[in-house]
Amino acid sequence: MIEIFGFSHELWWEWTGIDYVLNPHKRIFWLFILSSFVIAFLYVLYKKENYNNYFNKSFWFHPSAQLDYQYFILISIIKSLVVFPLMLSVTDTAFYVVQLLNEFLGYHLPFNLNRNAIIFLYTLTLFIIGDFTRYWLHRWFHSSDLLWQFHKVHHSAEVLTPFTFYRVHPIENFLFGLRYALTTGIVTGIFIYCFGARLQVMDVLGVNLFIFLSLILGANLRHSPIYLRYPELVEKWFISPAQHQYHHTPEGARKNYSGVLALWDRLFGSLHVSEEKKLKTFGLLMNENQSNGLSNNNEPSSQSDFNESESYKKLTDLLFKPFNNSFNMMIEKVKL
Amino acid sequence: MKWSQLINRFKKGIIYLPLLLVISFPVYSQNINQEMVLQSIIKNILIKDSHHTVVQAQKLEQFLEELNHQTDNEHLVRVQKQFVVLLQSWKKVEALYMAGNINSDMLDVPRYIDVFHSGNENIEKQLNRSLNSDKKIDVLLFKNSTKSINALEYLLFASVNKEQLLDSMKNKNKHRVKMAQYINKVLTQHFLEIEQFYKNDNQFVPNGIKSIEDLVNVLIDSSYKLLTWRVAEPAGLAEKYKGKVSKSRLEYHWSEASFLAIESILHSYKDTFNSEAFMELGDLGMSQGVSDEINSIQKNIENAIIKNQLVIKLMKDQSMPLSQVLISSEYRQLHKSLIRLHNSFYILLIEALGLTSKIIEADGD
Repeated sequence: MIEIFGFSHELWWEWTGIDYVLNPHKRIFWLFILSSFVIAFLYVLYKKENYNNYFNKSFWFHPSAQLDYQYFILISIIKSLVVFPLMLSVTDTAFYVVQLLNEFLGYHLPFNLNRNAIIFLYTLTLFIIGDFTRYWLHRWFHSSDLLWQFHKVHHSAEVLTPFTFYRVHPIENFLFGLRYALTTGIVTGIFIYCFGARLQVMDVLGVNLFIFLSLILGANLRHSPIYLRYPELVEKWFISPAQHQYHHTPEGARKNYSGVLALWDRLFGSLHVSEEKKLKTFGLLMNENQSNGLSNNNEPSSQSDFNESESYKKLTDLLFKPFNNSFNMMIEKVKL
Repeated sequence: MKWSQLINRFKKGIIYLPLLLVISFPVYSQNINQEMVLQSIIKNILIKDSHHTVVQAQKLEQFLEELNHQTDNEHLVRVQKQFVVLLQSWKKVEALYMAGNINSDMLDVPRYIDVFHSGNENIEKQLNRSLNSDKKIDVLLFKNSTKSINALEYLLFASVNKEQLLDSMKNKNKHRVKMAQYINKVLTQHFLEIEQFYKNDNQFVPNGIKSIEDLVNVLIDSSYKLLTWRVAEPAGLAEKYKGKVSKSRLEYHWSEASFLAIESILHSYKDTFNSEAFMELGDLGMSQGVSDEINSIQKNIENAIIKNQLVIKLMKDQSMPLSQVLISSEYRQLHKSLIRLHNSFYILLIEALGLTSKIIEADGD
């Protein structure tokens, strides 16, 4: 292992964000960026649009985009030093689930099922349950007054770039990590209890096959200016980039919470299929009389709305404002 | 932006692609040498141990024949010692019994050999009845349980004292010795069947990852039985018999060889994970990035072997009776070490799945 200033090169890669480009487990892995770029290229070609509309300095160096880039480095360091060490381990969760099942249901030899069937079932279950819990946690970030203060960091982006995906408050990172550890740990524990060691994830480059497919098929376009729509029938099953972009508009923030499967939005009444007209405004808008950041409603009510995204202009705003807002909010609630 | 400019940018990008591929390759590359490990395991463990068991059973056959000719204390002791050697050899075969996974026809063979913890048959009663009967031995011992290694143990050890046992062996034209000879012959056939199966097998190695998975399943199953059946239950440490100590729940309580059997089982784990002589699962795990878990297993196996030796020492050096051994602090430590060992097999299995938390899922949306 190479060490630089006493730290392993792996840590340096993590802190500087290089790991994110070279690691297939990351959204901005070079192959996923490349595939998104190819899809975007074909989209512009098909739509007969001008490439300058998308590949121009005013977009990629918009103040909001610049903040995304800076924040990406900062959050990489915070995640590596603070969030990951605190994270619940998937191994521990899975292990305790197996122990619990052995204790309450009794030990048994693994069920005899075709190996390929087990692997397919495990991979699919991980993906579906993972996407389901992701939907509900995301929705909770919108419906809870307290959590919304932290999720606003992500929604404060006024232009969407692939780096906006990482514009997430560490508290949100932690909760999403916890969700992952619990979901994956519980599913894995149950599968190990039932099928023992005959378990494996169907993967491409070490990534769950279904997640890999969703990533290579343009997941990065969800946070991009490319308004890629799917046919309506498809959008009822899979969330298109256009649908997620709608979620980033002030009026659509309570729609399309799903990660990959639109099924959850459809089942729980939050689906919005995309429309022909392009989206213009991303970010936070708030009614003037709610401009103190204490709103529990992120939907604008009039044209005279105050643009709250303006309050998230600096790295310190992204990191500390949520704490400040939630503290004020709780004080207000106590007063009431 | 013009088309030509855009295409030029693409070309530049393509130049960097191979570089990116080379840099990112180590992130997901794997250097697996399953075939060599599986070949080594079948040759150095499965075939070797099963062959050793056949040899020991044949040796016992010879000693039993001598006992039949000369039924005295000297020959009885020799037979008893050889029985324990056979038992230890068989435990190694049983602990890593893969034949049933490779071919379902071989699934039941261990149950014909060893009836510990299976069924509710009282073999002592059946054997005592057979000892008093004048019928032919193969008619008397028609049940598999009465032809098991446990039945053989009963015939070679169960008695108030050695004199009575020798008297019993001399009775009725040495009926007891002849029954033991018959059982040992049946057992030898089973051991031969297992040895031949491994020698002729052409599936274990080609099955690759499936064989590795089966091996881990067998280890988890074996370590569970070792912990719960062989150690926790006799001392009342398992839920089923909580607080109720009984030496009759030990696997080989007549011969008092239970802890030697446990030692053999632990040595079969050691062969599978930490052999200096040949390639095994430990080497494979190390090459696949689960070295921490492999180290932990190796450490836990060593620790369990040491704790078990302390228990054996109690019996040998201090001549402590079994009922006392089961409530000793040394026994509790052995139990704890086996819990850790069993858990470390599960941890290895989970870690091998590579479910790291540092992945996209930790980010929002």
